Order: sequence, then structure tokens, then C-alpha cells
Amino acid sequence: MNKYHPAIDVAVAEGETKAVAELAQVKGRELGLVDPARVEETINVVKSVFKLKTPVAVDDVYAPGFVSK
Amino acid sequence: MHRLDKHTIVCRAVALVALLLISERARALDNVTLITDFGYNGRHAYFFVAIEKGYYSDADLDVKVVRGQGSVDAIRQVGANNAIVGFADAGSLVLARGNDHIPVKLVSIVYAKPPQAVFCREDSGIRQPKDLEGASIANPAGGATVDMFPVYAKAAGFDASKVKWIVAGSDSLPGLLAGNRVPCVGQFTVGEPLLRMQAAPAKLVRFAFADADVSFYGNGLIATDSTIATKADIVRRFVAATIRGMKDAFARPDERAGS
Repeated sequence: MNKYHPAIDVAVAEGETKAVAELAQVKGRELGLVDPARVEETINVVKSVFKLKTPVAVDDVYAPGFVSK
Repeated sequence: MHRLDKHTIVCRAVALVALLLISERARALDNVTLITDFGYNGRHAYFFVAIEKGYYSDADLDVKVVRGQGSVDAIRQVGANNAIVGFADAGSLVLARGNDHIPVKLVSIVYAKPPQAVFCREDSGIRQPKDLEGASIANPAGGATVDMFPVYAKAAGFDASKVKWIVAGSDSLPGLLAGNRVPCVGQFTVGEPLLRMQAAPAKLVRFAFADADVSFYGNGLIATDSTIATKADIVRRFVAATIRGMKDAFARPDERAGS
């Protein structure tokens, strides 16, 4: 990262990468794999606060098959 | 005769190597432009690990990373085909689909937990979520933190409408906080190391959305319906190489941050 963007401090990049790992790694689930139930949960959370002009279903915002299990 | 055979073998070997080199050079890489959520930050290191370690080129991809100005911007840029893939917030994606009919979908998740947070200077007196009522929070326009803030406010039990948002560029946020020009900034938890470093010796209070037991997806990789339909193989190769970069970066964050 520092090689491509020298302004980015190495220690900061290391800390941020560790923070990303904490958000990304879910026990028992392949890295990067989307859980459709969590997508639905995300849609419901958004709907609880915002009014959507048109309904949104899981299939509207998630395309499966791009992460190998 | 024996010498002639040896000569022939050497010539053929040289020709074969030359052919392989020519073939390698002629191998067409698929160009992929990736737009980030906010600028270039340490949180994006795994994309650069994938470039540096040759994971994208192994997947026959030539990847260019361009900086975004918020998830909404990244979604719009991908929707307008200015980038083939983007890194953006799933909640903002739902809003973009439902309200603006932007035909973009999530293909892989990176932040499987909510990354949004607000960081305030401890000397601002803001100690608990309800203290954010009446506070000013600097954040880039169209950022996922602003979009999802009402969800956090509802879960944490305060009035989101009583917060004053100040539009500021993503790069300026640490400086604004460090210079005490604003009491709070919106920032993903992945940006915490930079904020704490730049705000020192001022201490910061963190209000992470995940701490209020809100559960939704954060950022992931996105592409348009059209790209998914017509360039699925490119997207699949990009996702696989990116995950390879993630695994590598997560295993050795100290080394990979400098690569």
C-alpha cells in the first residue's frame, strides 16, 4: 500500500488492515461470501429508516455465484 | 551428427522459449477499473497486495484503482460504467436501487459487520450517543455514515434530526478533528488508527454503529447488472483475486501494509 501511496503511513495501514479483518472474517463462513439472509436484514434496516420509491428484494441487490465456496 | 543434434536441440529450445515469451506478452489482460469508497486509505491495502503480488495478473486482469468520494459516488460511477467494479456500502446500494433505480448489485461482501462510526474529541464533552444531539459531525457528502446514521440513532435511542452535518472532504476529516475545528467526524472503524494518530494527544470517543446492536452489511464489491450478465467471468476472476489479496493481507498486515 505504502509503495503505491507513500503518503499512507505503514503503521496506520497495518492497523486499518487489522480492522478490516475484524469486519470481514465471520466464523464458519467463507471470506467474501454473501449471506442472502443478511442482505435481507440490510434491506429491512434501510426500510426501517428510509422510504423507498420502489420495493427492493434480495435479488435486486445481490448477484450470487461470484465467490467460490 | 551428434553435434548437429545438440545444436538442433538448443535451437529448438531457444525458439520454444522465445515463443513462450511472445505468447506471454501477447496474452491479453482484461482491463478492470475499481473505484474505492473513499480515497486511498490503509483499509484498501488488500487491493494493492493483489496488484503487487500479481494475483490480478494471474487472473489475466489489469486492475486500475481509482479513488471514490463516498459510497453513493462509487455506486453512481459504477452505474454510469465509469468503473467496472466498485467498493461500496450495501445500505447505500439498497437506497440507490430503490430510489434511483441504479442497476448495481453486490457480488461479494468485505465488511460483514457495520463499519460506520462517529468519533468525537473527548474534550468536547460528548461521552454517550445521546450527547450527539446538537453536535456537529463532519462527513463527506453522500457517505454511508450519513445514510445509515438514523438507523444507529434509533437503536441508540436519540434523535438523528438534532445532529448537524458538515460536509467535508474525506481527506480533511482527521485534520478537522485534530485542529478542533469540529467536535466529531463520521468515520468507519477501519479509519480509527489514522484518526487516533492524527488527533493525538487529544483523546477520542468512539460511537460504533455495531456497538448499538444494529446488524447489517457494510461494504462489498459491486457491479452493474449488465457487467454481471456479460462479463461474469471477469467479475468472478476479480473477486477471487481480491479475496486472495485479503487473505494475504490479513495473514501478514505488518508486511503487506508496506508492499
